[in-house]
Amino acid sequence: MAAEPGDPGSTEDPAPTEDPAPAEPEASPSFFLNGEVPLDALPGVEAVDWLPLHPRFARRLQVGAAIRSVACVAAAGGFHLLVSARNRAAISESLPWLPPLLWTVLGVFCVWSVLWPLIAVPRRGYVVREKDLLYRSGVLWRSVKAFPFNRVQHTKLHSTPLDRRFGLASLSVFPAGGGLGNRVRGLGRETAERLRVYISERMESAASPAADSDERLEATGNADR
Amino acid sequence: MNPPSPGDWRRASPFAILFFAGSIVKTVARAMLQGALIPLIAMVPLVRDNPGILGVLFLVLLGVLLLPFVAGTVQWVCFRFRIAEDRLLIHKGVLKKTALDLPYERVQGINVRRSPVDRLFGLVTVTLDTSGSVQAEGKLPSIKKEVAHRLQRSAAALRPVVGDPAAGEGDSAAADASRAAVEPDRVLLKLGPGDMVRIGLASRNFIFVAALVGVLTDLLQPGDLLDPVLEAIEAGVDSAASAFTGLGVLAQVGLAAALIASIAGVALLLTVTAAFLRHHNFTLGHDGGRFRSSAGLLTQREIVVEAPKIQQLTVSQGLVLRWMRRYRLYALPAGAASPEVGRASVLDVPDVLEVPLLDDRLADDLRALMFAREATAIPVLPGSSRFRRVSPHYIRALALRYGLVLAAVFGTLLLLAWAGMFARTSTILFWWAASIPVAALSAWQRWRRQGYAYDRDGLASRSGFLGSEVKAFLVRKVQSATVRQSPLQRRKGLATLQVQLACGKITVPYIDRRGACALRDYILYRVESSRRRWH
Repeated sequence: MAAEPGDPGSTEDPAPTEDPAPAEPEASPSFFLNGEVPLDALPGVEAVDWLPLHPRFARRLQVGAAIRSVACVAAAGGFHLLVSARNRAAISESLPWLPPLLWTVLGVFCVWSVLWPLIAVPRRGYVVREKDLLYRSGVLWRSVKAFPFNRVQHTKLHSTPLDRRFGLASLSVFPAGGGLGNRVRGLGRETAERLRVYISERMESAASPAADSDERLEATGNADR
Repeated sequence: MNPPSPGDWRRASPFAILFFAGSIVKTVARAMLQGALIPLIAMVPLVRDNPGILGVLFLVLLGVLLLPFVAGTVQWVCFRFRIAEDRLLIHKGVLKKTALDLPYERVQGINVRRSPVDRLFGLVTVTLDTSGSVQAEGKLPSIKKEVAHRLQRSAAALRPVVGDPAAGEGDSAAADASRAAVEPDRVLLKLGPGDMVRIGLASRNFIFVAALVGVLTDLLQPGDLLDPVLEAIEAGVDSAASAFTGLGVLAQVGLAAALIASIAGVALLLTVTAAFLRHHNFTLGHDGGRFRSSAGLLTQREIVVEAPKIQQLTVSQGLVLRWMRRYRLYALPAGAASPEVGRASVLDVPDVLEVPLLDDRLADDLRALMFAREATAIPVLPGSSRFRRVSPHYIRALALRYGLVLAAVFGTLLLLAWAGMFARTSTILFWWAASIPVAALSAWQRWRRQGYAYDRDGLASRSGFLGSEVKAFLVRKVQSATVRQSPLQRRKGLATLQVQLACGKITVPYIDRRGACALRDYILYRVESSRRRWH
């Protein structure tokens, strides 16, 4: 700590007597002057703690899939009876392997659709940050979506009868330019409502009341309302 | 003629019935265009063989056309508008009544369209582009020209050029803006007849039109006009197999070449005519923050877009344009559909500002003007060396995708062949094998065209196959950002970055995962710290 510039890391700094500039991680203007973006220096999404979806959500998806499966099997059974009553003989003669094959495919599909939520739901998650909402999903094809609050046009809460039985709701955020699939499914009802209010407070219209004449406000950067 | 006092409620001219009927027809036609075109072509030989059927067709057509006119008349009766001092009020709707109240401060562009009928009677059709709405809101069909001018004047007076974002940088820009209020447009580009020929040559529809002409000539001529071509091709194959057999083959080849040339000529004539109709006398003007383009031979269209409203610049260059060293540019405002899907869309979307032919200097100038001195380092020209390549693993992914499609197609064909319904199995296997290198080459070519570049304000993504297209945008106008990873990408440490703009999606595939995440974080930082208006 004496007058000697001891540490070998700061060789580019000719005056080590001063403290190193504390504003280094901030995006100071000189930081960006050469037009190149130092990508590694920014605060990242990687470090966030993902919130899991509601614990009952996987069960709710399974119930939905089971209902659909039962409906499918019932429809297929009806069709099978209808067809085989007429030309059972013709089918068993020419294509004896076809009905078992179709039934196997249907069975595998139903079992798979009931099991799938157990695999997929733990890999979904969301994070609410101060200025954006992150949502991750996908098992093989993984994606992380980010929705800045000051670009959200409106939000929507949505719950089906089955959702309500499990006390769940889904929240959709709509930025301009549309696109479907901006939906966070499987939130608890109160969580979803609180989230909606939180986002609404931070939406574009609320964030910039004097949108037409705020060119100079940019200088204040991240400063809050 | 004394203009009535500004407070009056008034009606559009009766010619607006044409507009209303036309928009009904257009909606119906768009809905069934894909389905109806093929039967229409199929009807050509029917009419050729039996001209009597034409009368019946005509009657049916008349009935179909009359219905929209009745509906249009009713709509016209119910349509009223009023130009007040600070706002425009519109009442419309037959069953569902709509009252529209548009303050001039919100009007961002007044687009004017003059159909031939309109021009004959000094009328114009006005579309108002408003801030904050994704769709084009107000529409005044067939109103008097003076009324439109008054509307333009009062709107321009109440809403001076907004948000030239560089205005804060220095007084020169501010001076520019204030001067622009009194100065007429600065003309950036005028296109003459020679340019129309070039546009026609470079038209994307050229191949399509040529094919259509070919099919139509074949259908309309009972003689076997195209047969010589096929024979010549066969003969050519034969001669390649054996040797030159003599003049007969040469004559046939010559005839075929002449035929192909004439078909191409007719197609060229059509596309050049289309270019004249659409872009005749194209003028691009600029004042402060507004861009104004006007063009058209019969129907004149004037499109106004404010620079802050522009979300994305698309610069495209096909093979022909590349040979001519010219580009085509689209400036997409918020809510506009991309030019490729624009025609299929049923929604009333804001007009895209299109510059059909421009050189590299003007493209760079326009970039600078439209992005208002932000994003000065991102390239908009496809040939720029500043584009970075995406990872070569992209080739493999594309090849895999093509391979799957090929496997599905040829697998089906093979099954058919085994069942004896189709060509020989060996033929199909041969073509399958032959298509694999083509798929690999296509994947490689796509990868070569793919690229991206960014600076502190903007990002540009290039894509294409034969031609190429650059989509550039300001980072702070992004709506949402997504980073995706396929299993292959995860293994190689790659990712795909996709951003949503107010006018569509832009994808940067197969870049380094860390880079993609950092870029996403930077985009979020820029968006979330920006308090400037994005539209």
